[in-house]
Amino acid sequence: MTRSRRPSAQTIAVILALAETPSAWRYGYELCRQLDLMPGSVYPILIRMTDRGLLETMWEAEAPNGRPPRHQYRLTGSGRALATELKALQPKPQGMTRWQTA
Amino acid sequence: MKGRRLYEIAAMLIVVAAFAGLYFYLAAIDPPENAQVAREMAILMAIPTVLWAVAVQQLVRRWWASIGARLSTMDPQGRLLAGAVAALPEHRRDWGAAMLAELPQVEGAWRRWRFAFSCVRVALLSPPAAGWPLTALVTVVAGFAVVAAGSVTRAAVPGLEVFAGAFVAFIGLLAVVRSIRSGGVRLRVPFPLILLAAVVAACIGVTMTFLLRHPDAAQSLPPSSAVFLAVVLGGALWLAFSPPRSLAGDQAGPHIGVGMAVVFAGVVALSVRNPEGLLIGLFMIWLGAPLFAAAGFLGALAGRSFRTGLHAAAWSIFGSILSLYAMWLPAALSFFEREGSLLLDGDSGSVGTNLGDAMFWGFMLIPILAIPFGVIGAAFGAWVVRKLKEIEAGPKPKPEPRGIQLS
Repeated sequence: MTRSRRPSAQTIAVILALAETPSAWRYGYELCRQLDLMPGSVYPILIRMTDRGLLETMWEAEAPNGRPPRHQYRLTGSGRALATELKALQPKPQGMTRWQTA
Repeated sequence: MKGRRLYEIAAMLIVVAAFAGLYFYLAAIDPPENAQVAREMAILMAIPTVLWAVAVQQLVRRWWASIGARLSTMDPQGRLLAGAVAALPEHRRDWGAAMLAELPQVEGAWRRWRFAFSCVRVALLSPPAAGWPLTALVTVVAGFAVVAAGSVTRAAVPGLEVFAGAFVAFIGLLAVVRSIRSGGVRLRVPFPLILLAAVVAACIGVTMTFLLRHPDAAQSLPPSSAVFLAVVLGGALWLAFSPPRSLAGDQAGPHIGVGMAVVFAGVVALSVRNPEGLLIGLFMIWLGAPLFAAAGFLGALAGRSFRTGLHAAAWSIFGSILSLYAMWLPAALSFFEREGSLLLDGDSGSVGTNLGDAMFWGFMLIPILAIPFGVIGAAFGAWVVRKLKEIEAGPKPKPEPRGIQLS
């Protein structure tokens, strides 16, 4: 898959947030809270990423009583590759030491 | 259960109020001569009222079983979000369900409102299923088609331009909505579809012929009637090509519906030859309204679902009323040119009155009886299916007797 242009800042934020724990399944509202974004921004990003094969989705197998099963997300192989690429392109904050940015 | 009853009673009360309002309106514009006539009129009005009340109660019961019960347990934010999710295109339904499933995690009324409104924005601004370029193209083509249909018809068949514009606009709107929601049409039942499309074409053809032969009859097709005719014919095509999910049942539905419509059309064909025959035929149809109940019943049995029953009833109703209209106008035209009177009752009147008669009987009076009969038939069929399933499953195990049995 080729990308014609650089993803938006919000998309990058979502990808990097998912890349923090690449093997873990994450939830939409959890990402909203972590990134302080509205679901109206996060869900279209998740939908586009899924359409482009960057994200895999799964419904929660067992939900506690009284709560519907949630939709879970995590990066695919190409999603992780993109995350690595984006991480490398991220400008490092000035004044931080190597160990702080690692 | 209590909530369902409440909704059922509310829906039935709305039906009763609507028919009572109609009764008082009719009594106001044409006051009954005496108390006896007023009483007869009330009894006549009570028949469709009862039928509609029962049909609406059945529809509310099905709605409650599918989504109503779940909606009743939600707060306003949940209902708002559920409504928005229902508007999502079919291929995005999973995402709607995902948003809905997250709402219980959001705490605090203000946060929940913000979450719900933000998700509604996603639902409303979701990209069309067919993509923006194709949807834009469909919209532009539909717009041009409306203008072209209006101007071409104005030159060719004066008096029919409003109908032509409204009909093309209705079809164009359906095409745009379809491209947004699912990006294609389902053509799974070719024979009934072709038949219904042919009857719609016949309806348009006979209306054109009628107005070409008697241009002054255009006075009997005011803009409101022309738009109404366009919506009925467009609605039939919508049902055939792109039915809503609630009506897209088993494929048996269209076949059974068309079969019933052919029976109905046969009765009409035999009765439109003379005015006495037509009147008798129409009253037979009133008495024979259970034909539509049979369509609903057989549809529900064949598809083993209420939805297929409704689908069959809808096809039978559209097929029947359109074939009545398509046969009425040519018969009325030749009768008027031969006898100089109206086909409905042989009375004198302008030729255009036939147009109003055909629309009033075909598209208003008959559906008033046919729709509730169709719904009740489908509900009865679904009930029989449920009972048959219970019999197939065998008798329920008897509960163990309580207490200690002394032998």
